[in-house]
Amino acid sequence: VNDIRAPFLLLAVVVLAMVVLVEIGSSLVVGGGSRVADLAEQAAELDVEVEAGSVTEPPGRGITYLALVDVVLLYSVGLMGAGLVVPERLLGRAQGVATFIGSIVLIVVALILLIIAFVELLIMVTLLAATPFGTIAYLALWGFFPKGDAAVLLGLILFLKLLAVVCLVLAHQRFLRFKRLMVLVATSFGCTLLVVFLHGLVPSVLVAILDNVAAIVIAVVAIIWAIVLLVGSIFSIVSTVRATASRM
Amino acid sequence: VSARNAAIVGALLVAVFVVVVALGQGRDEGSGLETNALIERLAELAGDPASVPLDQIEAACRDEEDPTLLVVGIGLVPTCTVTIVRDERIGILRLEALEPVAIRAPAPEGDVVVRSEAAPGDDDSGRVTVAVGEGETAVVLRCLGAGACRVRIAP
Repeated sequence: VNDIRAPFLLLAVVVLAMVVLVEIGSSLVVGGGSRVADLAEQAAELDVEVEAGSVTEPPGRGITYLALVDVVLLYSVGLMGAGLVVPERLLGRAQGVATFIGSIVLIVVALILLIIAFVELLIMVTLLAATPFGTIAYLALWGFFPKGDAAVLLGLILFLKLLAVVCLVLAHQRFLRFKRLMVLVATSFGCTLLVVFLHGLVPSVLVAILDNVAAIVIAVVAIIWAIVLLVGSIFSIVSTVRATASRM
Repeated sequence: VSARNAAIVGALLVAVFVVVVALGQGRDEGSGLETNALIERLAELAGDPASVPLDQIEAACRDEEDPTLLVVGIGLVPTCTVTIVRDERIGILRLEALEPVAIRAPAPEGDVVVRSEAAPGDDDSGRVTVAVGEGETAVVLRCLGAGACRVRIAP
């Protein structure tokens, strides 16, 4: 523990916390612009007329759902940071219980969000195929995904993640040998790159559909990681209980 | 892990990022609703959307003998309002115009109203698919020609 350069580890925790906050708050930044005129243009292509009340850019789900995976990374790095200030014995006891509760909460939240994204994806595809009335409904709700805003935010998130990894390496090169941490870092980068890739794969009006696909994949990945944490925490709790019982 | 290995991993990460972004951006051509293989595959996986059952459809212009037939423009009123009441989120009302007809319906899940016209022809131009959301939806039919017109509720 003494070999760790604490300021860099603390900086990594702060940067990862920023990543999670940016992802959670992304729906406040991305989308919201009025696109009534664009809808009228698309409607003319479909040979229909529209009376539009309000048509706004959707915020999407992909970026927000990234927080499900990155919160696991933040927690893991946060525990390392906590090791600098909290006594090892106390941390060992608390870690198992905290991870157990946290992983169950994560599984429940990710499962709910997975179902929401899946249902919305089915509605999107159904509406898109129901020409012309459904297609117009799809366009009004999801047809004008703000790819530019999303790309800027994803660029910022990738930069912050890279910064966090650099800080971790500067804190101690030993972190690169922690296989689970490195796999978690790779998963986090992989999920972000998946969103970037899917946003660029189809024409603008269809991006919202693939953004939802990305959200579904990310929610599944988060559930898998939460299960890994849950299993680990059960072993940790059992060994703590055994150690305590043997001392009595 | 040596500095050399770390540099290689870093370079690989940057290369993967560039490739992923380039692959994605390279395929973003066109902004319209052109057919896309990936979306078509998703639509196949989602399956055909459920049609609105006849018992969820109410209309004063419904033919007494054939409940799938709507006869619009009989009497003084040139329009017919078809009301659909559903407790599920999205359903599809498939209409087939046997004479030219104008259709006005709200788009589900938003505050957009859509107007379209349909007339029988060889190219399925008489067929219209109306997406219906949860709750009550009013679809207004109006004959485009003189006299009455018929619209079939397709299965």
